[in-house]
Amino acid sequence: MKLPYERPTLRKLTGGLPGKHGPRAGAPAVETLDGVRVEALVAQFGSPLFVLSERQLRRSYQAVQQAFATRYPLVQLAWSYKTNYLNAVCRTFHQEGAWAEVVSGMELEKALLNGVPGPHILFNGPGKRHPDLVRACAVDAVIHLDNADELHLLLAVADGRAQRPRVALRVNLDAGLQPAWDRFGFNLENGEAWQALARVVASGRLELVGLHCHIGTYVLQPAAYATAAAKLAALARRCQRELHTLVQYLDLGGGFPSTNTLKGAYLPASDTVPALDEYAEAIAGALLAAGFAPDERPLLVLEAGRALVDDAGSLIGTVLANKRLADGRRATILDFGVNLLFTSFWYDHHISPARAFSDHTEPTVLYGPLCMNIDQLRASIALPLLAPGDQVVVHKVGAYNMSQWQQFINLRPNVVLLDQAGAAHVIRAAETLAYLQQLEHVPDHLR
Amino acid sequence: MTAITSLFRPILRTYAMLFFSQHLGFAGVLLLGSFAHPAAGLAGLASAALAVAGARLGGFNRAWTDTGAYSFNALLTGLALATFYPPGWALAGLVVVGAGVALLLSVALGGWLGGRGLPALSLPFVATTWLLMLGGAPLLHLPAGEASVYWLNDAYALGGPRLVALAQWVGSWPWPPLLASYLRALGSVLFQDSAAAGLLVALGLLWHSRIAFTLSVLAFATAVGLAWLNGTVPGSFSDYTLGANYLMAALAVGSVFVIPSAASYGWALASVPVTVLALAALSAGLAGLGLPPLSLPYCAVALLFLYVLLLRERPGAGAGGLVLTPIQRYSPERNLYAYSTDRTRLAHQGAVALTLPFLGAWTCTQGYADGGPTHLGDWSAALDFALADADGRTYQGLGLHLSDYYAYNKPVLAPADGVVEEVIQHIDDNAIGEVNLAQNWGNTVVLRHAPGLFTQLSHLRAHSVPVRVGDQVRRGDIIGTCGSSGRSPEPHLHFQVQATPYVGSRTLPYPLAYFVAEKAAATASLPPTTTAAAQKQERFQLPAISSLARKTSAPKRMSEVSDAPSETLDTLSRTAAAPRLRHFAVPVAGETVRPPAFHRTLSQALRLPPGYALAVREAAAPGAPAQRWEVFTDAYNLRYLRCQATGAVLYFGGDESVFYCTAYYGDESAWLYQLYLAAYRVPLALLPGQTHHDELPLSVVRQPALAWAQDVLAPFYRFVRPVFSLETAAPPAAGRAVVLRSRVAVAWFGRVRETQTAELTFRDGALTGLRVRRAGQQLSLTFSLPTG
Repeated sequence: MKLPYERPTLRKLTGGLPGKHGPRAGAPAVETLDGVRVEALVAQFGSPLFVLSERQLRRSYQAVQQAFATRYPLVQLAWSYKTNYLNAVCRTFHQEGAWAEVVSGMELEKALLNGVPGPHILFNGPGKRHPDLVRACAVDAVIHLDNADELHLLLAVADGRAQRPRVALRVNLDAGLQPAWDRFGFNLENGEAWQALARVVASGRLELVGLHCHIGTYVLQPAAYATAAAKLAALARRCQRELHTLVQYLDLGGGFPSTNTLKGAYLPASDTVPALDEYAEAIAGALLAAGFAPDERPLLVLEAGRALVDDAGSLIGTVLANKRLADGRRATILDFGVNLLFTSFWYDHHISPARAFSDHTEPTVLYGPLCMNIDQLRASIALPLLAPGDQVVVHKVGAYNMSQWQQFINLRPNVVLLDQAGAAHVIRAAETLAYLQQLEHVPDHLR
Repeated sequence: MTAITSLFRPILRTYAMLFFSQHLGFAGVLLLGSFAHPAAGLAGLASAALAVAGARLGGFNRAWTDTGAYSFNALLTGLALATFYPPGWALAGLVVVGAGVALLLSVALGGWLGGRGLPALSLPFVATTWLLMLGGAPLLHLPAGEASVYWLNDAYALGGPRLVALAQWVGSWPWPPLLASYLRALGSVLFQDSAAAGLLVALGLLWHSRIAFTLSVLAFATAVGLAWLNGTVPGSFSDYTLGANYLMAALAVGSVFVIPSAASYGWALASVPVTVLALAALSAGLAGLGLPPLSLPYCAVALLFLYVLLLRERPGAGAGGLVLTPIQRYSPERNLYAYSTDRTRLAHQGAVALTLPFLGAWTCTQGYADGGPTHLGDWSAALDFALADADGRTYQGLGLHLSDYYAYNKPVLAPADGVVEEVIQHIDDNAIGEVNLAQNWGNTVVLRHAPGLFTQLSHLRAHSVPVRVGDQVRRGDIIGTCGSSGRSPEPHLHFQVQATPYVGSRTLPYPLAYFVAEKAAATASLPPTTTAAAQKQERFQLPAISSLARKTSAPKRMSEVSDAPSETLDTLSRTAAAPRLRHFAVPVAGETVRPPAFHRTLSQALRLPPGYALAVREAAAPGAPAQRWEVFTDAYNLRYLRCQATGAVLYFGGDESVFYCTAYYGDESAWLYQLYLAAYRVPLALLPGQTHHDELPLSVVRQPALAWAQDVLAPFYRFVRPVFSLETAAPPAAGRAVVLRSRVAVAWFGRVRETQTAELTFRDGALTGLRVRRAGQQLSLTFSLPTG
């Protein structure tokens, strides 16, 4: 007899030693961050609370640096400012030796205020304005050209300057990825990039120092980087051969994945994401094989953002309430929402309870406190039976959240940095209503 | 006209060359002294001029001609002839012939003896004079004799009774007899029987060289002592014309052709009795022929004493040994100072430069002969490297798998150009914690870099070697990846230098040409079996120390260094924890080492290939015609920068990691000299806050009293140290310009006095500016590429 059809289901296998009630499931409790008790942090700085680990910031930086510098002789990391705007974070990386990668006039000023020398600032982005370009020229930052109109604007700015502004060309190319990022920079395959390079060199008003490409974000194929590096290196060699210009650096951009799990992924990212060493191997291998003379090898610049900061950030929150949804699912309301955890739109964040529970877990929907339907942090997560007032820790939230957050419905909370001795420093104070309103003006007739 | 003025200096130098000097002041003094007997002075000058002109016309080696090396024998001949023959046409003729013969013999004997590494000294003069004395008598019917009895007549003719009175007054000065003998001996080099002329010579000699002067006095004292032992009355002990032999022989073997030292002084004094003997023997032997021995005893003894040194099997063994002067700088002081600084500075010039066999910052886990667990006995001069994180751990996670280890599968590079001599790559990597004692070295590559110079890289990952036996590799080529095969409990790299091509040969201590070293605060690598709990504890305790060191290292040092300008030597110890660029050194256990990143602008600007030229102008006078400095190479492939305007020459050297000046020849008022002092040593990799030091030769000291006091003691004891230091003016940025600050300070008895500071500006791959501040004066030069 033919069996009736049943739709397939996916169910997660959970390994590990079984307990009294079957296999253990759910995240083990995380009671301390860098040796400091979560409870104590909340008691002192309130909830929700962003916590950054200086130790992890440095370790991540050193790990990326080591992975590349042990394979290629000239490596420079440029901290991608938009990933995390906090000055304490930026300065930690600059102290480790990072340059700055900025994408707006505001970020340029921010980098300068953080003490980055102008020549160590790479000015990227598709939306540079005239005053931005003037300022960048004045401080001798390197301008990464994005489009032909920008090139013409910069040529006008460069006119009559005592020293030629230094530029790099942002190139987009087919590295075998879909979708190909072709909205930034000049296309390589259709010859646009070469035309722009010829224009830059022929103008005599700009000094070409670098080539830049950025093939995507959360790229899981190291081989794509090898392709990009090889293509970029070939372009640099052509510049040397035909334009008699020695390209000083190749900027392979960023886009390296963190170990945060993307929504819809079956296995956790820590099991599926290639190790950083594989990316380093791919890029360094391609560059070493590109045929540069040993003393003419270009500097390899990497605009790492997420890979440097994601692991160092944690968000501590508190359970406000539990409820049961109409379909019977359990729901938990936390005191932070998507306004603070912007990345929850694309990650299934790893969330741990901050104290030990029994082994019982329950699939739970996590909601934020916003009065908005979209404010859902996890559609389903196995968590122990949390009670109001219990704390949870969201891991690996260092990237993008502290730059894309909003004061929507709630204000933004404290951010503390745990230094390497374990001392907590507030690096951004919780916002107040006065702060929120300080730029507002109420017309007289409404007073 | 220019031809005549261009002869002037060589003629003057001819006089100084009598004492192996190029000191123009000394030369002037000697010229003056030679006119104490006007006819002799005139004859000498004429001879010298003829010889210089002849050497120029004859097309003999221009450099030798210009130093006076071809003409000083003619000068001596002229002086001697005027002493033996009365003034007149006959003498004039003899002088012309004598100058010619002396020149020919100088060239011929110089070439013959020069090929054996020996100087001709004044042998051409002796031969010429004898020739003329023997040949002159039958041909010209001129008997040789003492003509000097007539010279007062000449003086009368020249200057009337006053000059005669003056000469008699000087001549009858009551000199102490010993001093008079000494001065007359010195004066006799110029064929002057006059203590006054001798005094001039003595003062000139003192001006030229304190060492030479001291040695002349010592040699004279020894000669007197010998005469006294012999029973001769000191006052009348010698014929004045011959006393010079002792002095000159001692000068030659004690200070000029041998680097001055206690040993060379002893050698010089040992030559005195031999000279005494030679003099007595030659005088007796030649008396029958009616010939004076002239300077033959000196030449014979000096050549004997030098030639035996040349034939030693172990030349200059030991620090205080007798070292033949490698490059003649025509001043005992300069020879000594250049030699003693070069001995350490340039010790590695020409050596095969080995570099770190990896990229990135690795920790040296076992160094040379430090009682390490495995580098023992004949294999003690080996290095082990592993990668560690800031906690000093060599792995991430639990460290139970090879791939947890940072070092695993990282590229291993050829440390220098060479040929692959041996490849073993079939041995499996060990599990963590296990060692393979049967195949001790594991997978190994041996490279041959030079005859008798091999490097061995061991414990490579199985089947990771991309090269084959016989392949040529360049420095930096990947020859495998780091693994854990052989006697290796966890992935690490074993590196050793050896003299034979076999795997596991006895090790050879050999330094690495350059690397950046950083003393890690905590580098203890934990055993790989540490439990997770222990690791956690470790995590919270270790980093505090290392992070502190890191935080304070980079930005702060700069201000510390610049705030304390007078403590050059102290900063050395204070910045020991910061990364330092090291040359020709061996990493020690616990140090984190990495290859330096070279500054492209500096490397490009100081590459200075032959044919490269710079137009140099004073910043204050941009319209004035520029000096042209151009790079040439000499016969030994050494590069030098020559200033076309002043003729000054600056020798330099270096490799990809450093530029340094090796020698300067020329006028010290030339601009090129400022570059010599300002860019004495420029490392091409810049580390923030590091001050680079080097030792300058003592000849740069410009405080006469201090310098003279040191000169006298120099062969025995050095208390004055000129120190060069250089640092970046601002943390190095990737931009266009880089500014370096250097300074010269003189240290003596714990005091440090800055004598000069300079600022070098490099821009867009070229040297563009030099600003020198010295004693309140400032010189600002700009450099550009010459047009046309």
